[in-house]
Amino acid sequence: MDGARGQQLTPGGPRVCDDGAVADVTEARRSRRSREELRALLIAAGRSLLEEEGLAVGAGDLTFKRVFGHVEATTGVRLTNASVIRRVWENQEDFQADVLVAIASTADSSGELDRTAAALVPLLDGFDLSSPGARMRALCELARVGGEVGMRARLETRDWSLWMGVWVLALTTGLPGRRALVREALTQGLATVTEVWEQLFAGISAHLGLRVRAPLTLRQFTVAVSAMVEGSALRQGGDPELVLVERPTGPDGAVQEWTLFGVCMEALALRFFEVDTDRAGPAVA
Amino acid sequence: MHAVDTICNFRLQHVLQVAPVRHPDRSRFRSTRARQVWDDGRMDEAPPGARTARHSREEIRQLMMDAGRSILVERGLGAGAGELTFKRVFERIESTSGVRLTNASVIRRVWENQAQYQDDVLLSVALAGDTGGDMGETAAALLPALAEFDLSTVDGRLRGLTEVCRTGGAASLQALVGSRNWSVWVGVWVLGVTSPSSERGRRIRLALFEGYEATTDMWSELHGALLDHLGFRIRAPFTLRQFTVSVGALVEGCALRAGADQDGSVLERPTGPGGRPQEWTLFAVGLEALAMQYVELAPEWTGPAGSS
Repeated sequence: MDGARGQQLTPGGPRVCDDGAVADVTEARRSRRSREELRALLIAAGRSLLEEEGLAVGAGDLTFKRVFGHVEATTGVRLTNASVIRRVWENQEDFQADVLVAIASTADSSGELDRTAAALVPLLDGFDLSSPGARMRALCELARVGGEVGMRARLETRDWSLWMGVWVLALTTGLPGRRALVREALTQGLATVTEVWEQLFAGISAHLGLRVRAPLTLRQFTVAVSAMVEGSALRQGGDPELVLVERPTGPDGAVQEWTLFGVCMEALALRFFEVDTDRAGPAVA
Repeated sequence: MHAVDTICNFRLQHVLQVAPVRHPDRSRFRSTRARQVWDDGRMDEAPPGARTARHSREEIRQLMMDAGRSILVERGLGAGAGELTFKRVFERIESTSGVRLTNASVIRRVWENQAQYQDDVLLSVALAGDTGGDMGETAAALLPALAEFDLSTVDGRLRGLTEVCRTGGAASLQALVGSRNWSVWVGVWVLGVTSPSSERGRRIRLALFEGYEATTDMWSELHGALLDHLGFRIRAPFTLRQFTVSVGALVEGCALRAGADQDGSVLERPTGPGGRPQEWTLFAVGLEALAMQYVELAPEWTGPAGSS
Protein backbone atom coordinates (compact mmCIF):
# COMPACT_ATOMS: atom_id res chain seq x y z
CA MET A 1 0.00 0.00 0.00
CA ASP A 2 1.18 3.49 -0.78
CA GLY A 3 2.35 5.06 2.43
CA ALA A 4 0.37 8.24 1.93
CA ARG A 5 -2.86 6.65 0.78
CA GLY A 6 -5.74 7.01 3.22
CA GLN A 7 -3.77 9.23 5.51
CA GLN A 8 -5.60 12.14 7.10
CA LEU A 9 -3.77 15.32 6.22
CA THR A 10 -5.30 17.75 8.67
CA PRO A 11 -2.82 19.68 10.79
CA GLY A 12 -1.97 18.36 14.22
CA GLY A 13 -0.21 15.46 15.87
CA PRO A 14 -0.07 11.83 14.87
CA ARG A 15 -2.55 10.41 12.37
CA VAL A 16 -3.79 6.88 11.99
CA CYS A 17 -4.53 5.64 8.52
CA ASP A 18 -7.38 3.26 7.83
CA ASP A 19 -4.94 0.38 7.67
CA GLY A 20 -3.85 1.09 11.24
CA ALA A 21 -0.65 2.88 10.38
CA VAL A 22 0.07 5.87 12.61
CA ALA A 23 1.63 8.91 10.96
CA ASP A 24 3.29 11.52 13.14
CA VAL A 25 2.92 14.63 11.02
CA THR A 26 5.16 16.84 13.06
CA GLU A 27 8.07 14.46 12.94
CA ALA A 28 7.24 13.24 9.47
CA ARG A 29 7.57 9.64 10.41
CA ARG A 30 5.24 6.66 10.38
CA SER A 31 4.95 3.85 12.82
CA ARG A 32 2.53 0.97 12.62
CA ARG A 33 0.66 -0.06 15.76
CA SER A 34 -0.34 -3.65 16.08
CA ARG A 35 -3.92 -4.69 16.72
CA GLU A 36 -2.91 -5.60 20.24
CA GLU A 37 -1.42 -2.16 20.86
CA LEU A 38 -4.54 -0.46 19.56
CA ARG A 39 -6.71 -2.69 21.67
CA ALA A 40 -4.66 -1.98 24.79
CA LEU A 41 -4.81 1.75 24.08
CA LEU A 42 -8.56 1.85 23.67
CA ILE A 43 -9.29 -0.48 26.54
CA ALA A 44 -7.24 1.69 28.86
CA ALA A 45 -9.00 4.84 27.65
CA GLY A 46 -12.39 3.19 27.98
CA ARG A 47 -11.71 2.07 31.52
CA SER A 48 -10.46 5.49 32.40
CA LEU A 49 -13.70 7.05 31.14
CA LEU A 50 -15.81 4.56 33.06
CA GLU A 51 -13.88 5.21 36.24
CA GLU A 52 -14.44 8.94 35.89
CA GLU A 53 -18.03 8.96 34.73
CA GLY A 54 -19.57 5.70 35.82
CA LEU A 55 -21.31 3.10 33.78
CA ALA A 56 -24.23 5.20 32.67
CA VAL A 57 -26.40 2.22 33.44
CA GLY A 58 -29.93 2.61 34.61
CA ALA A 59 -33.30 2.26 33.08
CA GLY A 60 -32.08 3.40 29.70
CA ASP A 61 -33.89 0.59 27.91
CA LEU A 62 -37.14 1.60 29.51
CA THR A 63 -38.48 3.81 26.74
CA PHE A 64 -42.09 4.90 26.56
CA LYS A 65 -42.38 3.13 23.22
CA ARG A 66 -41.36 -0.20 24.73
CA VAL A 67 -43.51 0.27 27.80
CA PHE A 68 -46.51 1.14 25.66
CA GLY A 69 -45.91 -2.02 23.66
CA HIS A 70 -45.74 -4.07 26.83
CA VAL A 71 -48.92 -2.55 28.21
CA GLU A 72 -50.78 -3.24 24.98
CA ALA A 73 -49.50 -6.80 24.73
CA THR A 74 -50.37 -7.67 28.30
CA THR A 75 -53.56 -5.69 28.90
CA GLY A 76 -54.82 -4.68 25.46
CA VAL A 77 -54.76 -1.04 26.48
CA ARG A 78 -53.10 1.26 23.99
CA LEU A 79 -51.27 4.30 25.30
CA THR A 80 -49.41 7.06 23.52
CA ASN A 81 -46.97 9.76 24.53
CA ALA A 82 -49.85 12.18 24.87
CA SER A 83 -51.40 9.90 27.49
CA VAL A 84 -48.54 10.35 29.87
CA ILE A 85 -46.18 13.18 28.98
CA ARG A 86 -46.96 16.20 31.13
CA ARG A 87 -49.93 14.26 32.51
CA VAL A 88 -48.19 11.64 34.57
CA TRP A 89 -44.51 12.39 34.07
CA GLU A 90 -42.80 15.42 32.65
CA ASN A 91 -40.79 13.23 30.32
CA GLN A 92 -39.40 9.76 29.80
CA GLU A 93 -36.47 10.34 32.12
CA ASP A 94 -38.88 11.24 34.89
CA PHE A 95 -40.74 8.00 34.33
CA GLN A 96 -37.52 5.97 34.44
CA ALA A 97 -36.47 7.60 37.70
CA ASP A 98 -39.93 6.84 39.11
CA VAL A 99 -39.57 3.15 38.27
CA LEU A 100 -36.16 3.07 39.93
CA VAL A 101 -37.54 4.82 43.01
CA ALA A 102 -40.31 2.21 43.16
CA ILE A 103 -37.79 -0.62 43.06
CA ALA A 104 -35.49 1.09 45.56
CA SER A 105 -38.25 1.49 48.12
CA THR A 106 -39.21 -2.20 48.10
CA ALA A 107 -36.21 -3.45 50.01
CA ASP A 108 -37.61 -6.86 50.95
CA SER A 109 -39.72 -7.72 47.95
CA SER A 110 -38.05 -11.12 47.88
CA GLY A 111 -40.00 -12.17 50.96
CA GLU A 112 -36.75 -13.16 52.64
CA LEU A 113 -38.02 -12.05 56.03
CA ASP A 114 -41.24 -14.07 55.80
CA ARG A 115 -39.45 -17.20 54.60
CA THR A 116 -36.76 -16.94 57.27
CA ALA A 117 -39.26 -16.36 60.06
CA ALA A 118 -41.42 -19.25 58.84
CA ALA A 119 -38.38 -21.56 58.96
CA LEU A 120 -37.28 -20.42 62.40
CA VAL A 121 -40.57 -20.44 64.32
CA PRO A 122 -40.96 -24.26 64.41
CA LEU A 123 -37.37 -24.54 65.66
CA LEU A 124 -37.95 -22.15 68.54
CA ASP A 125 -40.49 -24.45 70.16
CA GLY A 126 -38.20 -27.48 70.03
CA PHE A 127 -35.08 -26.06 71.64
CA ASP A 128 -33.79 -27.17 75.00
CA LEU A 129 -33.26 -23.87 76.81
CA SER A 130 -32.66 -25.32 80.25
CA SER A 131 -29.02 -24.23 80.58
CA PRO A 132 -26.82 -21.34 79.37
CA GLY A 133 -24.90 -23.74 77.13
CA ALA A 134 -28.11 -25.07 75.59
CA ARG A 135 -29.31 -21.54 74.89
CA MET A 136 -26.11 -20.66 73.07
CA ARG A 137 -26.36 -23.93 71.09
CA ALA A 138 -29.88 -22.91 70.09
CA LEU A 139 -28.49 -19.60 68.84
CA CYS A 140 -25.97 -21.46 66.66
CA GLU A 141 -28.68 -23.72 65.23
CA LEU A 142 -30.77 -20.69 64.36
CA ALA A 143 -27.77 -19.18 62.58
CA ARG A 144 -27.30 -22.43 60.62
CA VAL A 145 -30.91 -22.87 59.54
CA GLY A 146 -31.87 -19.20 59.25
CA GLY A 147 -28.67 -18.41 57.37
CA GLU A 148 -29.38 -20.97 54.69
CA VAL A 149 -33.07 -20.11 54.29
CA GLY A 150 -32.40 -16.37 54.18
CA MET A 151 -29.65 -16.66 51.61
CA ARG A 152 -31.66 -18.97 49.36
CA ALA A 153 -34.66 -16.64 49.56
CA ARG A 154 -32.50 -13.79 48.32
CA LEU A 155 -30.78 -15.64 45.53
CA GLU A 156 -33.85 -17.32 44.13
CA THR A 157 -35.69 -14.15 43.26
CA ARG A 158 -34.93 -11.87 40.38
CA ASP A 159 -36.59 -9.01 42.23
CA TRP A 160 -33.75 -9.01 44.69
CA SER A 161 -31.01 -8.72 42.10
CA LEU A 162 -32.90 -5.88 40.47
CA TRP A 163 -33.26 -4.08 43.79
CA MET A 164 -29.60 -4.69 44.49
CA GLY A 165 -28.80 -3.35 41.04
CA VAL A 166 -30.69 -0.13 41.65
CA TRP A 167 -28.93 0.19 44.97
CA VAL A 168 -25.51 -0.25 43.42
CA LEU A 169 -26.34 2.18 40.64
CA ALA A 170 -27.68 4.77 43.03
CA LEU A 171 -24.50 4.64 45.04
CA THR A 172 -21.93 4.23 42.35
CA THR A 173 -23.10 5.90 39.17
CA GLY A 174 -24.89 9.00 38.03
CA LEU A 175 -28.43 7.86 37.46
CA PRO A 176 -30.33 9.92 34.96
CA GLY A 177 -32.62 12.39 36.58
CA ARG A 178 -33.80 12.19 40.13
CA ARG A 179 -30.86 10.39 41.63
CA ALA A 180 -31.41 11.95 45.03
CA LEU A 181 -34.94 10.57 45.11
CA VAL A 182 -33.70 7.08 44.33
CA ARG A 183 -31.17 7.32 47.13
CA GLU A 184 -33.78 8.62 49.53
CA ALA A 185 -36.19 5.82 48.66
CA LEU A 186 -33.38 3.34 49.10
CA THR A 187 -32.39 4.71 52.49
CA GLN A 188 -35.99 4.69 53.69
CA GLY A 189 -36.55 1.18 52.37
CA LEU A 190 -33.41 -0.04 54.11
CA ALA A 191 -34.38 1.66 57.38
CA THR A 192 -37.82 0.07 57.32
CA VAL A 193 -36.51 -3.40 56.60
CA THR A 194 -33.74 -3.06 59.19
CA GLU A 195 -36.33 -2.14 61.79
CA VAL A 196 -38.48 -5.17 61.00
CA TRP A 197 -35.46 -7.51 61.12
CA GLU A 198 -34.38 -5.91 64.37
CA GLN A 199 -37.78 -6.71 65.87
CA LEU A 200 -37.45 -10.32 64.74
CA PHE A 201 -33.98 -10.60 66.28
CA ALA A 202 -35.25 -8.95 69.49
CA GLY A 203 -38.03 -11.52 69.75
CA ILE A 204 -35.68 -14.44 69.12
CA SER A 205 -33.02 -13.28 71.60
CA ALA A 206 -35.68 -12.68 74.27
CA HIS A 207 -37.07 -16.17 73.66
CA LEU A 208 -33.62 -17.72 74.00
CA GLY A 209 -32.78 -15.68 77.09
CA LEU A 210 -29.91 -13.82 75.44
CA ARG A 211 -28.93 -10.15 75.38
CA VAL A 212 -26.60 -7.99 73.32
CA ARG A 213 -23.11 -7.51 74.74
CA ALA A 214 -22.42 -3.92 75.81
CA PRO A 215 -21.53 -1.56 74.18
CA LEU A 216 -22.89 -3.18 71.02
CA THR A 217 -26.53 -2.71 70.05
CA LEU A 218 -29.19 -4.85 68.43
CA ARG A 219 -29.38 -2.33 65.57
CA GLN A 220 -25.64 -2.80 64.93
CA PHE A 221 -26.09 -6.56 64.88
CA THR A 222 -28.96 -6.21 62.41
CA VAL A 223 -26.94 -3.92 60.14
CA ALA A 224 -23.93 -6.26 60.31
CA VAL A 225 -26.07 -9.26 59.39
CA SER A 226 -27.69 -7.34 56.53
CA ALA A 227 -24.28 -6.28 55.21
CA MET A 228 -23.12 -9.87 55.48
CA VAL A 229 -26.09 -11.23 53.56
CA GLU A 230 -25.85 -8.54 50.88
CA GLY A 231 -22.11 -9.01 50.43
CA SER A 232 -22.52 -12.79 50.35
CA ALA A 233 -25.26 -12.57 47.73
CA LEU A 234 -23.13 -10.16 45.72
CA ARG A 235 -20.29 -12.65 45.87
CA GLN A 236 -22.61 -15.45 44.78
CA GLY A 237 -23.15 -13.45 41.59
CA GLY A 238 -26.78 -14.50 41.43
CA ASP A 239 -25.80 -18.15 41.46
CA PRO A 240 -28.22 -20.00 43.79
CA GLU A 241 -25.75 -22.90 44.23
CA LEU A 242 -24.41 -22.47 47.79
CA VAL A 243 -21.06 -23.73 49.06
CA LEU A 244 -21.58 -26.08 52.00
CA VAL A 245 -19.22 -26.88 54.86
CA GLU A 246 -19.59 -29.94 57.08
CA ARG A 247 -19.08 -29.37 60.80
CA PRO A 248 -19.51 -31.67 63.80
CA THR A 249 -22.06 -29.37 65.40
CA GLY A 250 -25.01 -31.74 65.68
CA PRO A 251 -26.12 -33.73 68.75
CA ASP A 252 -23.17 -35.79 70.05
CA GLY A 253 -20.90 -34.28 67.43
CA ALA A 254 -23.00 -35.40 64.49
CA VAL A 255 -21.97 -33.78 61.21
CA GLN A 256 -24.20 -30.95 59.97
CA GLU A 257 -24.15 -28.98 56.76
CA TRP A 258 -23.47 -25.27 57.00
CA THR A 259 -23.57 -22.62 54.32
CA LEU A 260 -20.67 -20.21 54.46
CA PHE A 261 -23.18 -17.49 55.24
CA GLY A 262 -24.53 -19.57 58.15
CA VAL A 263 -20.98 -19.84 59.50
CA CYS A 264 -20.66 -16.05 59.32
CA MET A 265 -24.07 -15.56 60.94
CA GLU A 266 -22.96 -17.74 63.83
CA ALA A 267 -19.73 -15.75 64.16
CA LEU A 268 -21.64 -12.46 64.35
CA ALA A 269 -24.22 -13.90 66.75
CA LEU A 270 -21.52 -15.17 69.11
CA ARG A 271 -19.79 -11.80 69.03
CA PHE A 272 -22.96 -9.80 69.67
CA PHE A 273 -24.96 -11.98 72.08
CA GLU A 274 -24.39 -13.38 75.54
CA VAL A 275 -26.54 -15.25 78.00
CA ASP A 276 -28.86 -12.91 79.85
CA THR A 277 -28.12 -13.88 83.43
CA ASP A 278 -31.24 -12.11 84.66
CA ARG A 279 -33.44 -14.40 82.63
CA ALA A 280 -34.16 -17.93 83.76
CA GLY A 281 -35.76 -19.32 80.63
CA PRO A 282 -37.77 -18.65 77.50
CA ALA A 283 -40.24 -15.78 77.41
CA VAL A 284 -42.98 -18.10 76.31
CA ALA A 285 -43.25 -21.36 78.18
CA MET B 1 -64.01 20.02 10.87
CA HIS B 2 -63.05 19.45 7.28
CA ALA B 3 -62.63 15.94 5.99
CA VAL B 4 -59.18 16.82 4.64
CA ASP B 5 -58.05 17.91 8.11
CA THR B 6 -59.33 14.68 9.60
CA ILE B 7 -57.47 12.55 7.09
CA CYS B 8 -54.25 14.55 7.48
CA ASN B 9 -54.52 14.32 11.23
CA PHE B 10 -55.12 10.59 11.03
CA ARG B 11 -52.07 10.04 8.86
CA LEU B 12 -49.93 12.25 11.03
CA GLN B 13 -50.80 10.31 14.15
CA HIS B 14 -49.84 7.06 12.48
CA VAL B 15 -46.54 8.46 11.27
CA LEU B 16 -45.61 10.05 14.57
CA GLN B 17 -47.08 7.29 16.74
CA VAL B 18 -48.65 9.82 19.05
CA ALA B 19 -52.16 10.23 20.32
CA PRO B 20 -54.72 11.91 18.13
CA VAL B 21 -55.21 15.57 18.81
CA ARG B 22 -58.41 16.28 20.59
CA HIS B 23 -60.53 18.85 18.82
CA PRO B 24 -62.62 21.56 20.40
CA ASP B 25 -65.83 19.89 19.34
CA ARG B 26 -64.66 16.79 21.23
CA SER B 27 -65.51 14.56 18.34
CA ARG B 28 -63.98 11.17 18.76
CA PHE B 29 -61.12 10.04 16.66
CA ARG B 30 -62.11 6.92 14.80
CA SER B 31 -59.68 4.27 13.75
CA THR B 32 -59.67 0.55 13.20
CA ARG B 33 -57.25 0.01 16.09
CA ALA B 34 -58.36 -1.65 19.27
CA ARG B 35 -58.02 1.22 21.74
CA GLN B 36 -56.88 4.78 21.72
CA VAL B 37 -56.05 7.07 24.57
CA TRP B 38 -56.71 10.75 24.15
CA ASP B 39 -54.36 13.41 25.39
CA ASP B 40 -56.68 14.11 28.32
CA GLY B 41 -56.45 10.48 29.38
CA ARG B 42 -59.81 9.39 27.97
CA MET B 43 -59.53 5.95 26.46
CA ASP B 44 -61.50 4.39 23.64
CA GLU B 45 -62.21 0.76 24.31
CA ALA B 46 -62.33 -1.61 21.35
CA PRO B 47 -64.14 -1.75 19.06
CA PRO B 48 -64.10 1.90 18.04
CA GLY B 49 -67.35 3.60 18.62
CA ALA B 50 -68.54 1.12 21.19
CA ARG B 51 -67.94 3.12 24.38
CA THR B 52 -65.43 5.48 25.94
CA ALA B 53 -63.78 4.73 29.28
CA ARG B 54 -61.80 7.34 31.11
CA HIS B 55 -58.73 6.12 32.92
CA SER B 56 -57.44 8.30 35.68
CA ARG B 57 -53.87 9.51 35.82
CA GLU B 58 -53.31 7.08 38.66
CA GLU B 59 -54.58 4.14 36.60
CA ILE B 60 -52.34 5.05 33.69
CA ARG B 61 -49.43 5.57 36.03
CA GLN B 62 -50.03 2.18 37.60
CA LEU B 63 -50.19 0.50 34.19
CA MET B 64 -46.95 2.11 33.16
CA MET B 65 -45.20 1.36 36.42
CA ASP B 66 -46.18 -2.30 36.30
CA ALA B 67 -45.04 -2.58 32.71
CA GLY B 68 -41.81 -0.77 33.49
CA ARG B 69 -40.97 -3.15 36.29
CA SER B 70 -41.84 -6.15 34.15
CA ILE B 71 -39.54 -5.00 31.38
CA LEU B 72 -36.69 -4.39 33.78
CA VAL B 73 -37.19 -7.81 35.33
CA GLU B 74 -37.16 -9.39 31.88
CA ARG B 75 -34.39 -7.39 30.29
CA GLY B 76 -32.20 -6.19 33.12
CA LEU B 77 -30.98 -2.71 33.77
CA GLY B 78 -29.73 -2.17 30.29
CA ALA B 79 -27.13 -0.13 28.59
CA GLY B 80 -23.89 -0.75 30.42
CA ALA B 81 -21.06 0.98 28.68
CA GLY B 82 -23.42 2.75 26.30
CA GLU B 83 -21.68 6.06 26.80
CA LEU B 84 -18.41 4.54 25.74
CA THR B 85 -18.54 5.53 22.09
CA PHE B 86 -15.58 5.26 19.78
CA LYS B 87 -15.78 9.01 19.22
CA ARG B 88 -15.35 9.80 22.90
CA VAL B 89 -12.62 7.27 23.35
CA PHE B 90 -10.75 8.59 20.35
CA GLU B 91 -10.97 12.10 21.76
CA ARG B 92 -9.69 10.90 25.10
CA ILE B 93 -6.70 9.17 23.51
CA GLU B 94 -5.87 12.20 21.42
CA SER B 95 -6.04 14.57 24.37
CA THR B 96 -3.93 12.36 26.63
CA SER B 97 -1.42 10.86 24.21
CA GLY B 98 -1.63 12.95 21.04
CA VAL B 99 -2.42 9.86 18.99
CA ARG B 100 -5.37 10.34 16.66
CA LEU B 101 -7.49 7.34 15.75
CA THR B 102 -10.46 6.93 13.47
CA ASN B 103 -13.16 4.31 13.07
CA ALA B 104 -11.11 2.82 10.26
CA SER B 105 -8.30 2.22 12.73
CA VAL B 106 -10.30 -0.16 14.81
CA ILE B 107 -13.51 -1.34 13.16
CA ARG B 108 -13.01 -4.79 11.69
CA ARG B 109 -9.38 -4.51 12.67
CA VAL B 110 -9.62 -4.76 16.43
CA TRP B 111 -13.32 -5.10 17.06
CA GLU B 112 -16.15 -5.85 14.70
CA ASN B 113 -18.07 -2.86 15.98
CA GLN B 114 -18.49 -0.46 18.88
CA ALA B 115 -20.72 -2.82 20.87
CA GLN B 116 -18.02 -5.48 20.79
CA TYR B 117 -15.52 -2.95 22.03
CA GLN B 118 -17.82 -1.96 24.92
CA ASP B 119 -18.24 -5.61 25.89
CA ASP B 120 -14.50 -6.01 25.83
CA VAL B 121 -14.08 -3.10 28.24
CA LEU B 122 -16.72 -4.50 30.58
CA LEU B 123 -15.05 -7.90 30.52
CA SER B 124 -11.69 -6.35 31.34
CA VAL B 125 -13.23 -4.58 34.35
CA ALA B 126 -14.88 -7.83 35.47
CA LEU B 127 -11.67 -9.81 35.08
CA ALA B 128 -9.68 -7.29 37.09
CA GLY B 129 -11.73 -8.21 40.17
CA ASP B 130 -12.41 -5.72 42.92
CA THR B 131 -8.86 -4.79 43.80
CA GLY B 132 -8.82 -1.04 43.62
CA GLY B 133 -5.63 -0.69 45.55
CA ASP B 134 -7.51 -1.32 48.78
CA MET B 135 -5.28 -4.27 49.61
CA GLY B 136 -2.20 -2.07 49.31
CA GLU B 137 -3.76 0.58 51.53
CA THR B 138 -4.79 -2.04 54.09
CA ALA B 139 -1.29 -3.52 54.19
CA ALA B 140 0.24 -0.04 54.46
CA ALA B 141 -1.99 0.76 57.44
CA LEU B 142 -1.07 -2.50 59.17
CA LEU B 143 2.67 -2.64 58.67
CA PRO B 144 3.70 -0.09 61.33
CA ALA B 145 1.45 -1.76 63.92
CA LEU B 146 2.77 -5.25 63.20
CA ALA B 147 6.24 -4.33 64.36
CA GLU B 148 4.88 -2.96 67.65
CA PHE B 149 2.93 -6.01 68.79
CA ASP B 150 4.17 -7.96 71.79
CA LEU B 151 3.80 -11.51 70.52
CA SER B 152 5.65 -13.19 73.38
CA THR B 153 2.45 -14.31 75.13
CA VAL B 154 -0.90 -15.79 74.08
CA ASP B 155 -2.65 -12.67 75.36
CA GLY B 156 -0.31 -10.51 73.32
CA ARG B 157 -1.02 -12.51 70.17
CA LEU B 158 -4.78 -12.26 70.75
CA ARG B 159 -4.45 -8.51 71.29
CA GLY B 160 -2.43 -8.34 68.10
CA LEU B 161 -5.16 -10.12 66.16
CA THR B 162 -7.80 -7.79 67.60
CA GLU B 163 -5.77 -4.72 66.70
CA VAL B 164 -5.18 -6.02 63.17
CA CYS B 165 -8.94 -6.40 62.79
CA ARG B 166 -9.58 -2.90 64.14
CA THR B 167 -7.01 -0.95 62.15
CA GLY B 168 -6.94 -3.19 59.08
CA GLY B 169 -10.72 -3.32 58.99
CA ALA B 170 -11.05 0.46 59.10
CA ALA B 171 -8.40 0.95 56.39
CA SER B 172 -9.83 -1.76 54.19
CA LEU B 173 -13.39 -0.42 54.32
CA GLN B 174 -12.28 3.16 53.76
CA ALA B 175 -10.19 2.15 50.75
CA LEU B 176 -13.06 0.18 49.24
CA VAL B 177 -15.66 2.90 49.74
CA GLY B 178 -13.34 5.45 48.14
CA SER B 179 -12.31 3.21 45.27
CA ARG B 180 -13.71 4.25 41.90
CA ASN B 181 -12.41 0.98 40.53
CA TRP B 182 -14.61 -0.94 42.90
CA SER B 183 -17.59 1.20 41.97
CA VAL B 184 -17.17 0.37 38.32
CA TRP B 185 -16.54 -3.27 39.08
CA VAL B 186 -19.67 -3.54 41.17
CA GLY B 187 -21.56 -1.77 38.38
CA VAL B 188 -20.43 -4.47 35.98
CA TRP B 189 -21.67 -6.98 38.52
CA VAL B 190 -25.09 -5.38 38.16
CA LEU B 191 -24.96 -5.81 34.41
CA GLY B 192 -23.84 -9.41 34.70
CA VAL B 193 -26.42 -10.42 37.25
CA THR B 194 -29.45 -8.44 36.12
CA SER B 195 -29.07 -8.85 32.39
CA PRO B 196 -31.24 -11.50 30.74
CA SER B 197 -29.75 -14.85 29.79
CA SER B 198 -27.51 -14.21 26.83
CA GLU B 199 -24.04 -15.01 25.59
CA ARG B 200 -22.94 -11.53 26.61
CA GLY B 201 -24.34 -11.91 30.14
CA ARG B 202 -22.74 -15.34 30.44
CA ARG B 203 -19.34 -13.98 29.43
CA ILE B 204 -19.58 -11.11 31.91
CA ARG B 205 -20.58 -13.47 34.71
CA LEU B 206 -17.72 -15.79 33.85
CA ALA B 207 -15.28 -12.88 33.88
CA LEU B 208 -16.67 -11.69 37.22
CA PHE B 209 -16.02 -15.09 38.74
CA GLU B 210 -12.51 -15.21 37.30
CA GLY B 211 -11.87 -11.74 38.70
CA TYR B 212 -13.19 -12.84 42.07
CA GLU B 213 -10.92 -15.87 42.05
CA ALA B 214 -7.84 -13.77 41.32
CA THR B 215 -8.74 -11.19 43.97
CA THR B 216 -9.47 -13.88 46.53
CA ASP B 217 -6.08 -15.47 45.85
CA MET B 218 -4.32 -12.18 46.56
CA TRP B 219 -6.24 -11.48 49.75
CA SER B 220 -5.74 -15.06 50.91
CA GLU B 221 -2.00 -14.55 50.66
CA LEU B 222 -2.19 -11.41 52.79
CA HIS B 223 -4.46 -13.08 55.36
CA GLY B 224 -2.21 -16.12 55.50
CA ALA B 225 0.89 -13.99 56.02
CA LEU B 226 -0.80 -12.01 58.81
CA LEU B 227 -1.94 -15.17 60.59
CA ASP B 228 1.55 -16.64 60.32
CA HIS B 229 3.07 -13.48 61.73
CA LEU B 230 0.70 -13.43 64.71
CA GLY B 231 0.91 -17.16 65.38
CA PHE B 232 -2.54 -18.27 64.32
CA ARG B 233 -3.85 -20.96 62.00
CA ILE B 234 -7.17 -21.74 60.36
CA ARG B 235 -9.48 -23.83 62.53
CA ALA B 236 -10.54 -27.21 61.03
CA PRO B 237 -12.63 -27.87 58.97
CA PHE B 238 -12.44 -24.35 57.54
CA THR B 239 -10.00 -23.19 54.88
CA LEU B 240 -8.10 -19.95 54.46
CA ARG B 241 -10.05 -19.37 51.27
CA GLN B 242 -13.39 -19.64 53.07
CA PHE B 243 -12.19 -17.10 55.61
CA THR B 244 -11.12 -14.74 52.84
CA VAL B 245 -14.40 -15.14 50.95
CA SER B 246 -16.35 -14.41 54.14
CA VAL B 247 -14.29 -11.30 54.92
CA GLY B 248 -14.68 -10.12 51.33
CA ALA B 249 -18.44 -10.56 51.48
CA LEU B 250 -18.67 -8.60 54.71
CA VAL B 251 -16.51 -5.72 53.55
CA GLU B 252 -18.44 -5.40 50.30
CA GLY B 253 -21.77 -5.49 52.10
CA CYS B 254 -20.52 -2.85 54.54
CA ALA B 255 -19.18 -0.71 51.68
CA LEU B 256 -22.59 -0.75 50.01
CA ARG B 257 -24.25 0.10 53.31
CA ALA B 258 -21.79 2.91 53.97
CA GLY B 259 -23.15 4.70 50.94
CA ALA B 260 -26.76 4.46 52.02
CA ASP B 261 -26.73 4.44 55.79
CA GLN B 262 -23.97 5.85 57.98
CA ASP B 263 -25.86 5.15 61.18
CA GLY B 264 -23.89 3.11 63.68
CA SER B 265 -20.89 2.66 61.43
CA VAL B 266 -18.40 3.70 64.14
CA LEU B 267 -18.58 2.77 67.82
CA GLU B 268 -16.34 2.82 70.88
CA ARG B 269 -15.15 -0.30 72.68
CA PRO B 270 -12.86 -0.60 75.73
CA THR B 271 -10.22 -2.53 73.82
CA GLY B 272 -7.25 -0.17 74.24
CA PRO B 273 -4.39 -0.59 76.72
CA GLY B 274 -5.81 -0.56 80.25
CA GLY B 275 -9.35 -0.80 78.89
CA ARG B 276 -9.20 2.57 77.17
CA PRO B 277 -11.93 3.16 74.57
CA GLN B 278 -11.01 2.73 70.94
CA GLU B 279 -12.96 3.52 67.81
CA TRP B 280 -14.24 0.54 65.84
CA THR B 281 -16.05 0.44 62.55
CA LEU B 282 -18.93 -1.99 62.42
CA PHE B 283 -17.04 -3.86 59.72
CA ALA B 284 -14.02 -4.24 62.03
CA VAL B 285 -16.29 -5.68 64.74
CA GLY B 286 -17.62 -8.17 62.21
CA LEU B 287 -14.10 -8.92 60.99
CA GLU B 288 -13.00 -9.70 64.52
CA ALA B 289 -16.02 -11.99 64.90
CA LEU B 290 -15.08 -13.81 61.69
CA ALA B 291 -11.45 -14.10 62.82
CA MET B 292 -12.50 -15.65 66.12
CA GLN B 293 -14.71 -18.08 64.23
CA TYR B 294 -12.19 -19.14 61.60
CA VAL B 295 -8.81 -19.02 63.34
CA GLU B 296 -7.14 -20.41 66.43
CA LEU B 297 -3.74 -20.15 68.07
CA ALA B 298 -1.08 -22.20 66.31
CA PRO B 299 0.32 -24.51 69.05
CA GLU B 300 3.75 -25.07 67.50
CA TRP B 301 4.34 -21.43 66.72
CA THR B 302 7.71 -20.16 67.96
CA GLY B 303 7.68 -16.53 66.84
CA PRO B 304 7.25 -14.31 63.80
CA ALA B 305 9.19 -15.35 60.68
CA GLY B 306 12.61 -13.73 60.72
CA SER B 307 12.72 -13.24 64.49
CA SER B 308 15.57 -14.78 66.40
